[in-house]
Amino acid sequence: MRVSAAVCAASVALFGAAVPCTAGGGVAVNVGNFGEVPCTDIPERFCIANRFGGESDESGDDPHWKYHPGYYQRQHRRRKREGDAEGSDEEVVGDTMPMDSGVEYVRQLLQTAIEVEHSTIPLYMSAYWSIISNSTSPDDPNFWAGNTIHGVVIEEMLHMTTACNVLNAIGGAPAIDTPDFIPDYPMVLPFVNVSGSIQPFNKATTASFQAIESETKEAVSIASAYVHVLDLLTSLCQTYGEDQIFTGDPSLQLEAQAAGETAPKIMNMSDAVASLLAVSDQGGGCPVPGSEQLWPEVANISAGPLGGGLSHLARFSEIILGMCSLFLLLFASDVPCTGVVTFDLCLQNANTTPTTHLKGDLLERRCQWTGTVSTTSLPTQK
Amino acid sequence: MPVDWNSVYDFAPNPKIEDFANYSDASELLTEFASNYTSLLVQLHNVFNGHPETYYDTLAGMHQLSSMVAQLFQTQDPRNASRVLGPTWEYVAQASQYAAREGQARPTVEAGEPI
Repeated sequence: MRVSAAVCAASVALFGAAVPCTAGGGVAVNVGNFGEVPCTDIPERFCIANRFGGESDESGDDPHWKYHPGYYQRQHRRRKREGDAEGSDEEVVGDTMPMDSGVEYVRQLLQTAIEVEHSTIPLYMSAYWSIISNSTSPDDPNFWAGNTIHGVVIEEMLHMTTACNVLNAIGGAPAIDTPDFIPDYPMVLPFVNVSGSIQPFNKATTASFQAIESETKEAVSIASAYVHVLDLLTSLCQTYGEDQIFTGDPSLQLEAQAAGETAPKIMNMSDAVASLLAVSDQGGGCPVPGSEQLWPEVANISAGPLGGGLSHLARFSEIILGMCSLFLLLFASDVPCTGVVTFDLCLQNANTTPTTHLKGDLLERRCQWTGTVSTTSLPTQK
Repeated sequence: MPVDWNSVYDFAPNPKIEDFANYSDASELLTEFASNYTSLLVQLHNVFNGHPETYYDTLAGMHQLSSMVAQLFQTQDPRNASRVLGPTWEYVAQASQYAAREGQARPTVEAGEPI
């Protein structure tokens, strides 16, 4: 289903003109060691920094470039876009991931993911609490906006739970009660590279929430970090056997339920793939089946298998668009939807060139769910 | 109908307890919020380090934070009469069990009474 241009065009124009591309609330700074995951004991090409920072030189001048994760997938996608239907079947070459230091590295990435998921909660809760509504009716726009943010917070708790479950599943221990766990706001969120400030609800704050959830810059998104984690775990399981990697005590696992949604226990690689990709979808939307090559420029704005209706990105967009009723349009089949909503995303801190890092098999496994598909065209960032 | 962006409790961004060192009443309220939050994180830490059965009790602690924030929002910022106090998401060592665990994740130590 498409979203009605007639209903949304005015709001889009308003949004595009009115939202400044700043998070506001002071200058964001990197704080302490939060999110810095050292990558010294494993081959460089497995380091997440290479995945996140490697867009600068694909010309061949850098001999290490081909060892960066995602290189061949990008080449493959580009050739497909350029009309070579076969693409490239070249395999990524390079060293093998060592087991102990490799697993330890993945644990540290997951610890950072837990910290990122958590660090959204004070941001969102502070904005949610600050909203003054005139009534507790869903027709009250401010009540509706607060309720929308609150729903996202509950899901962030479940995302954090999932990241903890995966960390426990591979023999780690989530470190939550530590002096460094709470970010010193304002801060730049690791993996996402977007600044976040504890502020009252306002348009700029909500725009920064959009940027946090966005996958338009997939090179810097929580989803990309999860895909990297899954890539590394897949590689480790293939090399050493799944039972050597998923060594955690099952009694540590938590099945958490909130607002009709579930964060399941993680017992094996298959659980980890399903859950972390679902978390990614619920945050930033996901590729559209049949149009994967256009992702993330064309994205599914549904929340995916975890539920919640729209992705977090789309829900924050809805608030900024002033109740554009995307949600209604998504579910009310009698509403004519002929246009496409363009989300004007504030991605001032994001990298420049959209690239893809999803490996083919993981890409196919995203959106392996049925349900209403609503697409939106996201502008390519310059 | 659009969202009314001005219908909010306005507080100074990124509030810190130390910013209110000269205002004991505000400082006390903000410390209470931060230590309850730290205590909540101790409970959450324990949930994921051997006590998954305490998850729902831990979530209930979030509601306690909500009522504390309601109080902050009813309290004028002593530095600026047009604003109210905002939530201080800060680590309070006395409410943490990090030292009691000697810096390790496990074994866990039950959360104490927040300050």
